[in-house]
Amino acid sequence: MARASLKFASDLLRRLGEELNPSPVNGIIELVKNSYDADAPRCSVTIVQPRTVGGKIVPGHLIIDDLGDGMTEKDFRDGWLILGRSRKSSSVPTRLGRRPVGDKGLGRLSALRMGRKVTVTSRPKKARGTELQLVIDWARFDRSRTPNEVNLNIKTASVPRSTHPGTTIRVDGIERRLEASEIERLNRGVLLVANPFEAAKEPFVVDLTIDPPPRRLLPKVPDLMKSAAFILEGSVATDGTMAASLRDGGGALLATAKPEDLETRFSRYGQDAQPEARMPARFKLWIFLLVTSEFPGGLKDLNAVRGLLQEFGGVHVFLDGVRVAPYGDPNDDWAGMAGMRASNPEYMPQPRTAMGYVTLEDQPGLKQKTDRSGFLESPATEALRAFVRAALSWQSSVRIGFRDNTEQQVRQTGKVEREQISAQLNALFLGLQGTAKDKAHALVKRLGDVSSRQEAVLSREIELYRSLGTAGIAASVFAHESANNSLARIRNNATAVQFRVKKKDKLLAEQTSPLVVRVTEDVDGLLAVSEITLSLVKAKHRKRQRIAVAEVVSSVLDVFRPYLDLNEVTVEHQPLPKDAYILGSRSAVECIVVNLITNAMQAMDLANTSSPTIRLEGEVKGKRAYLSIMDNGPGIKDISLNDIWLPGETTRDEGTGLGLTIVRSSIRDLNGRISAEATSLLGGARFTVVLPLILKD
Amino acid sequence: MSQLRIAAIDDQAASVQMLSTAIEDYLEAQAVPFDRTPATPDSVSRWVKDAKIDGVLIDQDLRKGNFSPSSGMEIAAELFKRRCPTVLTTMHQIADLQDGIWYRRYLPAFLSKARLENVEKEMQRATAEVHGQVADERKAYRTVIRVDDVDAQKALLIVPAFSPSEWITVSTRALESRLKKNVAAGMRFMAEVNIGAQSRDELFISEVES
Repeated sequence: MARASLKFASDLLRRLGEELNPSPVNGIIELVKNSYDADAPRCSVTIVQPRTVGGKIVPGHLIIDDLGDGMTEKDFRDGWLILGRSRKSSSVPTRLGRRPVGDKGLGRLSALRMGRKVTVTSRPKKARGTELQLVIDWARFDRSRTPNEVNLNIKTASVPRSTHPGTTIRVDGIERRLEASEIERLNRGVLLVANPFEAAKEPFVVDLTIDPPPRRLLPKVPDLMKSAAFILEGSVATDGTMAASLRDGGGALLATAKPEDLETRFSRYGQDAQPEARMPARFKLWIFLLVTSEFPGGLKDLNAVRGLLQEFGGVHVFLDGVRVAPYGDPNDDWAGMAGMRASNPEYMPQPRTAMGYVTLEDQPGLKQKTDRSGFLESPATEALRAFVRAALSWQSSVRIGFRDNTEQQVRQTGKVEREQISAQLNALFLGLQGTAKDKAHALVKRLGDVSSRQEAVLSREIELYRSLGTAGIAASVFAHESANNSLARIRNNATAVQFRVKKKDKLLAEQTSPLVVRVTEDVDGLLAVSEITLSLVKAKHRKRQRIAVAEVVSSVLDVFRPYLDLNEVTVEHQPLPKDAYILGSRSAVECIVVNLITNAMQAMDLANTSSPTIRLEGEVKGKRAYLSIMDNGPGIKDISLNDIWLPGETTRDEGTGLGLTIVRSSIRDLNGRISAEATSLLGGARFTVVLPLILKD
Repeated sequence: MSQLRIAAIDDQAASVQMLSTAIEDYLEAQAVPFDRTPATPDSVSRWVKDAKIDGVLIDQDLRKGNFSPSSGMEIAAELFKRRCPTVLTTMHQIADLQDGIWYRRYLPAFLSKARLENVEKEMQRATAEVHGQVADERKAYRTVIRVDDVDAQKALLIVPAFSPSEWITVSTRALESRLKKNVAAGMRFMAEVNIGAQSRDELFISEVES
C-alpha cells in the first residue's frame, strides 16, 4: 500500500485571492480589522499607487502599520499563515474587550496578492525586545507546483525593549492602480470599520494616506448628530422581545412602543420573517428634518448635515463592533427605508434624511459571504430587517399622532386666536384717524370675509371628497369580497346549466340559450363595474411616477369593454404614441378618462342616442400630449360651459356634480389643462385634455 | 381508459366546488380537491405526484385561512417545471399579477374565474406547452436587457429585441434579487425573453444571468 496526500496547486492561491475577492479593497479592510483584533488603538494605511514613467510602470506599494499587540512566532505559524481557518475565537473578547472579527484569512489574501512581495514585521507584546519578520515572494509560489514546496522563514531580531509592539505589513511591486470608486469604497470602509456613531471606551482610529492624493477624501463623521430632530432606538432582547422608543433631538423621551405595536408591524413589514429567528440586536437612528429652522447654525449646518447624510445616510450594521459592508453603503438600503417611504410617505425616514446603525454581538450563526458583501441571507437576517422596519413604521405612527394632536389643537384654538388678533388690530386702529382708520377697518373686514369664504369652500370640498371616499371604499370592499366571487359563481353556474341541458336535450338547449346569454351578459357588465372599482382604488396607482398615457387609456378601455358592450357603445380609439410619458399618478389619468367616458355614456343614455359612439383621439404636438374625448350624444345643454367645472353643478338628478370638478383638479395635479366644447364633429360634447410630456432622455 | 384526475386548488370551499364542476363538466375528468395545507410549491408538487394528478387548476390568491404562504403563480410555475399541465385561475387581470413577468414563462395558461367554460382550451394549451409545443409569441430567446432608470421602487427596462422604445417596469427588489446585485441605470444583463410577444403585458423575463 502506497501513502499519498491531497495537495493543492499553487495556482489556487492566485485564484482564491483574485476570484473570491475581485477587488483588493475588501482585503485591505480585512487587514485593518486584524489590527482592530490586535487591540491597536490606531492603524495607518498608506497606499502609493503605481505610476508610468517613460512608458514603464513604476510599481507602487501598500503599508498597513498598527500599534497593536503584534504576533509571536506561534501566531505566525498557527494563525496568520493558515489561510481559510481562523485562529480567533469570536466568543472570547480581546484584552481591551473587543470581540475578534473572526476572519477566515481569505479576504486578506487578495490584498497580499496585490503586489509581488509581502513583508510582515511584527513586534509581539508577549516577547518585548524581539522583532519577527516574514517575507513572501509570490514569484516563488507561482513557479512551484504546490505551496508546500516553498519554505518560508520567520527571522527573529533583537530591538530595544522600549520599541512599541505592533505589526507592519508591506506589499511591494503593486502594478494595478486602485480605481477612484475603489478608493471611495476603501475610504468609507476604514472610516466606518469601528462604529463611529458612538463614543467607544477604547476607540480605534484609522488614518488613510494615498499617493497621489485622490480628489477628495471623506471627512470623519463629525459631531452633527445633535442636530437630529428625533432619535429612534430599538432593541431585541435575548428572548426575542422587541422594544423601541422615540426621543427628541435633545434626548427627551417622547414615546415608548408597546410590544404588540412592534409585533404586528414585524409581521406586516417582514413578509416571511419568523419571530423565532430574531437575534439580540440594538438599533439607533438619528432622524433629521432638513429645514433651516431646525439648525441653529442655519444653512451652513444644514448643508453640513446634508453632506454627512449623503456619505453616511442609512442604517449601517456592526457585528462585534466592526462594520459589515455593504449595509448602509450608498445604494444599499437593505432595510428598504426608501421603499417604505414611497408606500407610506408620512414621517418615514430614508437614507438621505437619517443615519444610524444596528449592532449585533456574538452571533456565530451569521455567516458572511466569502466576497465580504454582507451576510448570507438566512431567517435571522430576514428577522433583523423586519425588526428595523417595524421600528421605523412605529416611529412613523407616533409622529403622525403628534401631527394629528397639533392639528386638533389648531382647530380648537384657531377661533380664539383669530378673535385675539382681531382685538389687537382694533386696538391698533384706535391710534388711526379719519379715512385711514375707515380704510384699515374695511381692509380687515374684507380679509375676514375672504378667509371665511375660502374656509367654507374648502370645508364643502372636504365633505364632498370624504363622502366620495367612503362610497369608494364601500364599493371596492363590495366588489372584492362579494360581487366578484358571487358574480363569477352566478355566471359559471348559468353556463354549466346550459352545458348540461345541451348534453341532454338539444331542443331545450336552444330555448334556454337566449336566457343564459342574457344572464352572462348582465353579469359581465357587473363584473366590469367591479373591475373598474377595484382598478381605481389600487394604492400603487396613486404613486407619482412616469406613466405612459396611451397604456393607461387603453387599460381603462379594456376594463370598461364589457360595460360598453352591454350598453352597445362603440369606441373609436386613435391612441397616443406608446412612448408619450408624463409625470404624475396613474390614478389621476384614470380619473380623467373614467369620468369623461362615464359622462359621455350617461349623456347618450339619457338622450337615447342611436348608435352611441365615443371617440378618443390622441396626438403629440411638441412637448404636449393632446387627448380629446367626444361622443355623439346631445352635447352640453342647460348649463354654461363655465359652470360645468363647479362642484355640485349637474344636469342629472342623481348626479353628484363632482365628476368634472375632480377631472379639473386631477389635470391641475398633472400640470395640464382641459377645455370643453358643447358640440363636436360627432354631435356631442368634446373635452380636450393637454398634458406636458417628459422627454425620454 | 381511466378517467383523468385534475386537481382543484383554491383557498375557498365554494370556489373549489366551482372549479370541480367545471372539471367534471368541461373536461369530463375526476376533480380532486387539494387537502394538504399549507400549500407550497414543494408540498403541492409532492402531492400531485403522490395523488397521481394529471393536471391542475390553481387559483392565484391562496391567502385566506393560511391556506398558502405562496401565490398560486409560484406554485403553478413549479408544477409546470415538473411537467404537470397547470392552469392558473384568477379574478384579476393577468397583467396586474405582481411580479408576473418573472413567472409568465412557466405559466402557459390562464383562466378567468368567471369564464370557466374556457377551461378545456386552456388545459390543452398547458398540456401542449408541457410537451414542448410552444407558440411563436412564447418562445424564449437569450437577449440583452438594459436598465434605463431605477429608483427604490421600480426599474425601467428596455428589451431592444422586443421594442427599443417601450419601457418595461419591474420591481427593483425583484430585479436585484435575481441579478444578486444592486442595479443602476445603464447596466445591461442577459436573460431569456419571449421577444415575439404581442404586447408588453405578455412579455416574460426568465433565466436572468447574474
